[in-house]
Amino acid sequence: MPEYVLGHHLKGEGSRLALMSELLDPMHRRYIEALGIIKPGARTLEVGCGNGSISAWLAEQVSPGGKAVAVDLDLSLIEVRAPNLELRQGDIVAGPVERGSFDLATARAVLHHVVDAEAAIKNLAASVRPGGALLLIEPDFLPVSVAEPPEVRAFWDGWLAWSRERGIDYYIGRELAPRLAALGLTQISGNVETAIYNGGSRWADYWAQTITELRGDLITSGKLNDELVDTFLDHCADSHWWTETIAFSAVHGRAPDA
Amino acid sequence: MPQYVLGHYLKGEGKRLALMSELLDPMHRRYIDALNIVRPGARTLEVGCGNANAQSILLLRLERITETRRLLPIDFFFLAAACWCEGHADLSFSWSQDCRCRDSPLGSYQKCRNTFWVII
Repeated sequence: MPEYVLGHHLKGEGSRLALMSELLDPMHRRYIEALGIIKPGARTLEVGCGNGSISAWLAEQVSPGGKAVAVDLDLSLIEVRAPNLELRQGDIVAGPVERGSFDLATARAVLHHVVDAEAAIKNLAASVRPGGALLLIEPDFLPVSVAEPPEVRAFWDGWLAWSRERGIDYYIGRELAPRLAALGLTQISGNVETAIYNGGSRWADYWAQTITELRGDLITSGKLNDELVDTFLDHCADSHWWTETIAFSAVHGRAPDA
Repeated sequence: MPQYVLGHYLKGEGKRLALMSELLDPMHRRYIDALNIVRPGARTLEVGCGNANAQSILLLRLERITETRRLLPIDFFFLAAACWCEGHADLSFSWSQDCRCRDSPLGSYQKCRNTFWVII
């Protein structure tokens, strides 16, 4: 398995994850709430929990009587704690978590970094109880194919070439529904949404932080150069520049009743 | 202006609009809710209201008002919107074709304001 490119040891990763929570948690919570399955007493599983913000929220939602399990390869950036929040270091590719026992299993912005995504999805689905729900939220970088101006599109072309070399699948979002169907899940449904943002916004901050954090690797790969990176960062600071980058595919399904 | 290709006179158009409402209203409602601006006493305008189903969204937000309220759906074709009102027997509405919005620019809000409105 290629090394995870955004390791928790990287300078600024805690800040980047916090910003990611700020930008994506509202959408993630909304999709979870729409499932109508999270209530006191429920058991939830989040895989690739990052800083634990969603699992901490889930722990509140299932209390009293419920339990939230948060799994990640690296738990070092989790500061949240709750009596009914259990943190586990683990790799979902290795196997299901307490097979067939969770009312909800969810993962966000995780599977595109996993080389064996098929195994990860299979194990996530196997962790859900009969009738329980699996919710996956993953990127689809379709919007960057029409990014403007051309030098920004050139930056993203380089970014995608770099990501392919690093084993990252930025188009996995579009594959989620058929993959859940192939596993026999029912009531499969989903949506794609993307933020429209301008330079200086929180989304621009997010990309500026991410690119700055990865700059060394991006340049070393030969897929991008300093000029393209600097041009992109300049746009991220320009309030007159509007763009769309990452579409998030949110797909959910139910484990068949036993 | 080129002719609108999905005119309301087309066979099946009412059904298509109903399905469009079923598919898109939840998203539309969510964005409106997120604005947190539609509340009792508010005035709203929807342009291109289609079957005016979105008006029911706004009515839900305004339903606690006791004084006379107005909603203003505007469309090139009023028939579907009028049918929507007929389905709400508890509402009274006035509707006139005297004012033609068809060739009016968006800024014709005042001109059209009495064209089609719902009064509770």
